Amino acid sequence: MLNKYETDISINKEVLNNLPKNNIKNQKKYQEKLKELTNTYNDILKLIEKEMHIREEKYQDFKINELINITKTKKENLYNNLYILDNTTPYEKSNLSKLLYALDNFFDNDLESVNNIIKQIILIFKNINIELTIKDFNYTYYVNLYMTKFLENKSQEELKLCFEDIYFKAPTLFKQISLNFKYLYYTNIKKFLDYYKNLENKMLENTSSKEIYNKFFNLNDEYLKLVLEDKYTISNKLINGEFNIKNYTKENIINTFKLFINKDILEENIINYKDIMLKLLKSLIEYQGYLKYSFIIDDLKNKYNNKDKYKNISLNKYKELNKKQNNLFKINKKINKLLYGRFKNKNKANLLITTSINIINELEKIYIEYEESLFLETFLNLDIDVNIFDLLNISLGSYTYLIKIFKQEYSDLTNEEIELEINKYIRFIRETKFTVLNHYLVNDSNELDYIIVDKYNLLGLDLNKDSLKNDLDNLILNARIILNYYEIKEKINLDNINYLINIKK
Amino acid sequence: MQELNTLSNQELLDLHKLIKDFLKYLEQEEKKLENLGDNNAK
Repeated sequence: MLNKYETDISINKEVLNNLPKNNIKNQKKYQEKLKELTNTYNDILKLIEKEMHIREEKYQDFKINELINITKTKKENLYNNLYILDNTTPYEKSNLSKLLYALDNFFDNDLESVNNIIKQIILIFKNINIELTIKDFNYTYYVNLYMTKFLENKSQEELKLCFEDIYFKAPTLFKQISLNFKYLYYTNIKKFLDYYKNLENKMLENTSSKEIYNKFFNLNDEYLKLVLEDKYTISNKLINGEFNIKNYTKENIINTFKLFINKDILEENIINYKDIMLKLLKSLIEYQGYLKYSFIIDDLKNKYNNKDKYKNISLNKYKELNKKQNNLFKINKKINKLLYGRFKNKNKANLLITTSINIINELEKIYIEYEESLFLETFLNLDIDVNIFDLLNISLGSYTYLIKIFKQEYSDLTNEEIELEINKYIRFIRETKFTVLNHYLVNDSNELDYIIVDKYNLLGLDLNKDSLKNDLDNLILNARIILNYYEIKEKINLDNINYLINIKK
Repeated sequence: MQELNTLSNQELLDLHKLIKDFLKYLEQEEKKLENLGDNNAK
């Protein structure tokens, strides 16, 4: 058919070429011929485009599997509750650690955001059934002043005026408020512990922690499988270029597979490696995480190897904290008497306010040390045969620790970017159904990449010994291509997809 | 044009290109003719 039209067009061009255009009459005839041909070929074009449209509709006639979103929602809902089962303190579970860190570093936020943080913290206490009143904010004279306004629900404008009035006398106001909250948390720790124990008990009613995690991993696996196998998702990725269609030709797939088995293999035999390729991809991703987070793993290993030094360190700090705090409260009482009692003496009161601020600065340091000691003591719970996953898991016990170490590693990132990185890290630990790092002992002297290569070569692959060391990203990318290929070969007509790509050009 | 649906995807795309190119050619011829007419008038 194409030949017929090529010939027709060639003849028509020849006819046009031979028509004279030397005078107006001939030019008019030429123009009429042009019009006639334009009309004819426009009609043909319309028919072709109609057929093209029919094909476009036909080739795109599949919808996203609704189960994908349903499964995603289910797994995300469960994910959002997994923290309840963590072996961490209520300080972490309630999010107080994160919010108090933000309050401590208030210079990163504007005043309205800071007030918002305070509101959220008060709400956390309220959820635990602790209704905070102004009597609770007696850490310093200035904390009391600001929080009085705050709890009276003054407008942002009035709070700003109050803040500006206090700021030069107490530039560390929000650190003081943060310490006051910490004091309130530790004073009410039993209520916090009971609250989260209760949540945990409810969650574990008729089930176990292991079962819940298995349920989550199954949902996660199901979700990933649905996405991997979804015809609509695959086609869209091919059409929008996220998957390069050229990678999936027979020749290229055979070549790609040589990365995993270094010998000639028939295309139809590649299918036999589907399960092992899926397992390999998961192991490679785990190893990638191991490398990415080696800065934390090294630090945690170091802490673990020194764990004998951590016995009872928090108890001593707690005693020091209490002593200092009692001293502060005694001074605060005196300040109150001098300001509002029968024998007022503002000068003496001001002197004592300065003393109390100095104590606050010492308390800040002691609180940091106390919380650090609580975190270090958790290493004492680890057995001798501790693995890398155990270490990663333990790091979830202190947001302060995570933010400190991530800031060291990613010194050029903004606070928001650091938070995103931490969330990715937490997701990596919670969402991965570990098969490698949960068997790799902390003090194992064998190199992990060789262990993985040996394992998969025993299972029938033929990976280059140093391929994980030298070419991990490429290996992951190509393992994904092979896994996509299994689905594409079974479900997708690449010629039709190519057609859709071409008409979109 | 009943047989259009018997064409392969590539053939259909090639045919589409062929016809579009020819229509473009006709359009250019039309323009050339207009210019010729303008020159005659001058």
